[in-house]
Amino acid sequence: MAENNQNGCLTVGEGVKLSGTFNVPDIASISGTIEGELTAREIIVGATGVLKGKISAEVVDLRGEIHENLHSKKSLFIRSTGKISGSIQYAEIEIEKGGDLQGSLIKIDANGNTPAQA
Amino acid sequence: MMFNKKKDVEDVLGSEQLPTEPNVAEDNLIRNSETVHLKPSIISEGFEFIGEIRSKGSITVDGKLKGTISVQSLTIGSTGSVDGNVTADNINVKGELSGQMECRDLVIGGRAVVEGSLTYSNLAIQRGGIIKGDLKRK
Repeated sequence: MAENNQNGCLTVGEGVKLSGTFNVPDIASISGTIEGELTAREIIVGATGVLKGKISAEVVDLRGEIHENLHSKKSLFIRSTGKISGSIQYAEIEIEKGGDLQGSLIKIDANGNTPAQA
Repeated sequence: MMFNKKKDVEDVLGSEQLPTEPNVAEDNLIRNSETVHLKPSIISEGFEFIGEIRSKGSITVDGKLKGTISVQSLTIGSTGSVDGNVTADNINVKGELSGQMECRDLVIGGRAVVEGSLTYSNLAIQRGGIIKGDLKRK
């Protein structure tokens, strides 16, 4: 994946701290800390990774932490060490036992729209 | 005579009111510890119940349940729906659950829909499970 083809990918190693706005066309692989806005096709947060701010991606695979605002257009996978707080929008969700989820959850449809309240 | 007798009975009841209260509490304790080993209760498909359920045992809901539920273990089958105030140790949802929920372990199946405000210690959601509302971890 990210190792084979680095085009359009962002890798943030453990201990690295970034802040600002990031637009990643492909995979963002985060083991460090990012504060601000991050948009990617796929976000993989390692166990040491921390994201704070407005996070948006099609696919999110979380072993670390995400705070404030998460918009996951396709699938959101929270592993047992994963932690999310804040406002979360998702199309599909899966949580392993031990995963920590706090805040408000809104389901969106596959097109990224918030469906009318059922 | 009749009045006197009745009064006597009332007096006896009245005087026993205070000492019986601790006994009631004790009875409850005994009863609760006994019911832990009770067989699970089932609200089967097509059965609708509105009201309050309290048990130290487990309940399986394949029908409809509305109201206040306080149990040790709650299982909602794929045809089941529960709406209301739920307090349980374990909740396993394959059907629908809505309202206010408080539990230790919550497992949401792949076709389950959970809506409302939720307080939990352990949470697992299988792929496809839908969850809406406010979540809080204990």
